[in-house]
Amino acid sequence: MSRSLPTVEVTNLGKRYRLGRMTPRESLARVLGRARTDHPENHHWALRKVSFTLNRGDVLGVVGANGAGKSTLLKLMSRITHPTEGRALIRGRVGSLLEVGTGFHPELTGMENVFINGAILGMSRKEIRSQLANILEFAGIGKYIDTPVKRYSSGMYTRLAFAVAAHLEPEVMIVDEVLAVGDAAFQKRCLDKMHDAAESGRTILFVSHGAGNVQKLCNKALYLKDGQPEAYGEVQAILDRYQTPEEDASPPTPQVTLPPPKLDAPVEGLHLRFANTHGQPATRFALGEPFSVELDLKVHRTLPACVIALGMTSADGTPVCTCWSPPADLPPGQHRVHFPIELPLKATALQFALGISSNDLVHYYASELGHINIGPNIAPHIPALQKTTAASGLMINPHAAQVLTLASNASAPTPATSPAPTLDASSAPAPVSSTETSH
Amino acid sequence: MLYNAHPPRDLPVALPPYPKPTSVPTSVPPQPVNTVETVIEPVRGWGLPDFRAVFQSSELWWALAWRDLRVRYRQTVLGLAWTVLTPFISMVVFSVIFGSLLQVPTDGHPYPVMLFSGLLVWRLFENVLHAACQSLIVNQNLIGKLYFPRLLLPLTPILTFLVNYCVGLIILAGLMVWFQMMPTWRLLTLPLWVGLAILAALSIGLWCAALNAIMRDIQHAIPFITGLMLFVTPVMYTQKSITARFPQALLAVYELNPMVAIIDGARWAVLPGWAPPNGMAVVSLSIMFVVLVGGLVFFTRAEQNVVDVV
Repeated sequence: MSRSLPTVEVTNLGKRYRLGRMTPRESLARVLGRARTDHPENHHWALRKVSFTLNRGDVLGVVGANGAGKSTLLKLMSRITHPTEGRALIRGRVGSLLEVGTGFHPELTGMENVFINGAILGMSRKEIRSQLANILEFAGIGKYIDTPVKRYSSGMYTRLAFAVAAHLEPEVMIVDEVLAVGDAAFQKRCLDKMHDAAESGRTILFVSHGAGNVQKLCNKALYLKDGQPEAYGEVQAILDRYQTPEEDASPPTPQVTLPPPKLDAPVEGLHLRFANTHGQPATRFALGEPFSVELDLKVHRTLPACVIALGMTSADGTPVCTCWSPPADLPPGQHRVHFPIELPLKATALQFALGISSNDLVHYYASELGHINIGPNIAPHIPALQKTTAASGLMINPHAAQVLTLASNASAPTPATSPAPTLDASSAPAPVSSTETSH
Repeated sequence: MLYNAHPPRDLPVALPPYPKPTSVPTSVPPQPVNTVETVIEPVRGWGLPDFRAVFQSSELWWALAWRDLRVRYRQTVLGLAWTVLTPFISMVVFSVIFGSLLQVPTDGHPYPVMLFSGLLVWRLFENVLHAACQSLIVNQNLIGKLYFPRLLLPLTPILTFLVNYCVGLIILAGLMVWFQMMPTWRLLTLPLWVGLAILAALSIGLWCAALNAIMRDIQHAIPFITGLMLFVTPVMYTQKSITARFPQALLAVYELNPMVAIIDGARWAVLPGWAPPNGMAVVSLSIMFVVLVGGLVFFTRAEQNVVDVV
């Protein structure tokens, strides 16, 4: 059965561009295939040595910073431009969606554009007609459908454009981050639509900057860096790697000097220090290991009811937790604040934000301060959390779930007085209901 | 210790946050047997375009051509009347200058009918050529965002200008009624000449479209060249009226222009008693076909690089 054949096979795909401005003469030489005089130092590989295989129903998320080669990959896969080397094979109809509303003409009405855009995306008139009611319903344009789209609000325009694209039914979909349009509710509908598409056996190649959507939609991920595949495989592992800041970019230091305060501020932060429970300066802590953050600050004028707040965010900026000191009057002079922290965090990098206020008036604020790393090694008192890197969410639950056998169908009659809870994970897949998240 | 309440085993801690497609649900129909296979490879060599792919995209051609047609006279007061007005006014002006004032010989045919039957074909040729020449530039955005056989782009203007031509035929019919002329069976060959005029436009247009993507000089040169070409094509005069004063060798060069034969043919189809195109038509049309095939090959080669150079 053809099901066994992968829908997308990419081997060593690469695209080389020439740097600098090309004169018409050089362009012509290139078209004629005589561009032999190029100097290798002018070459730039936008993408190189990319290989992956996708089966039916696979959703591949491609992540990477700007200029990592994501768009080039999309352009190659949707045949807009030709690769310099390598090969890709796609089995099935391809629909590519690099932009919403390609070919929309402002002078034409919504209805006219639906048909033209549908044809441009590869739908036949018959297909569009059969889907028309769904498309219009999805777009929610209502009575404006016979108005030229140049009179539309930008939201209406993108909704209509996406509605057409969403009803495309190719076997392989190539999607750029076109989801970053519209309001939150519409984005969710778009995500659901893509999810349905994957569910019904379509293969999707999805390029995104945001890890969130990749995590929600994809079952495979490819992390591109400087045109080369940095990592490929399970989504969570790739995203962890993508989101962990470069070690060499800003090496974590146990002491951070705080930025200067605003002019004439009554208080200023001096240093932030990270230390383990033994008081030794450290920047890497095991999972579950308590640590402390110490703040040195200098008060210039008396601060009544002063509160010092320390916020923690994960590497992608998600707030994790805030700690406050109780309100107290601080006299002028140097002070040291001690924040003991004990959180069941999963492996992540942490950054800090600091705020000092008095009577609800903020006098000093600084964010994105320093960073420390949590994990991946595990504190000795939490022995079993082996799979924390694969865990989704910011926290780990250090307690194992318990399974109670209420009624057994095994031949041996269950004793009336059941023994201690069974904790044999090797038996049939245990319903780990206590850790299940509902959605 | 707080976290040591239970001696946990190796339990799966990670739970997927969203139901993910891991296997193909049973409700999905099996993959069609005759699956399309797309191979993405480095630029291949020279060759003719993939006519099958072009043919399969005929729906897209319709959509694009129809879009051009719809958009052309949007937000104009006169709308489609423009397609009637412009040739009609030029016909009147030319008729006054060349027919009445300069008394250009017309072989016994009324000048307006003689002029208009040729002018319509000429305008079709000229407009398709100009539009084809610009087609890759105008649709740059489409080229950069979607794949489709690029050959569709120089072909889309055909519809718009063919419609213009047909509207023009109504004026021609009116003129013939006015001058009490009755077309013969030869009118049935008119589509042939119209088709040849389009092919003539494309034979140059394909080269121009591909070259214009690389160097925009082309789009400045082409209107100028067609403007000159109008004078070496018997549109405003008849070929017979110049043959007497022309050296024989130069006349052969003159007749290499395929539009000479095509316009002659179009007039032969419409005007009763007009002489059919002479033997040179075979030569000039053969050359035109060679140029056309060359244009197809060159365009096919250029389209593979067009996104990177445009």
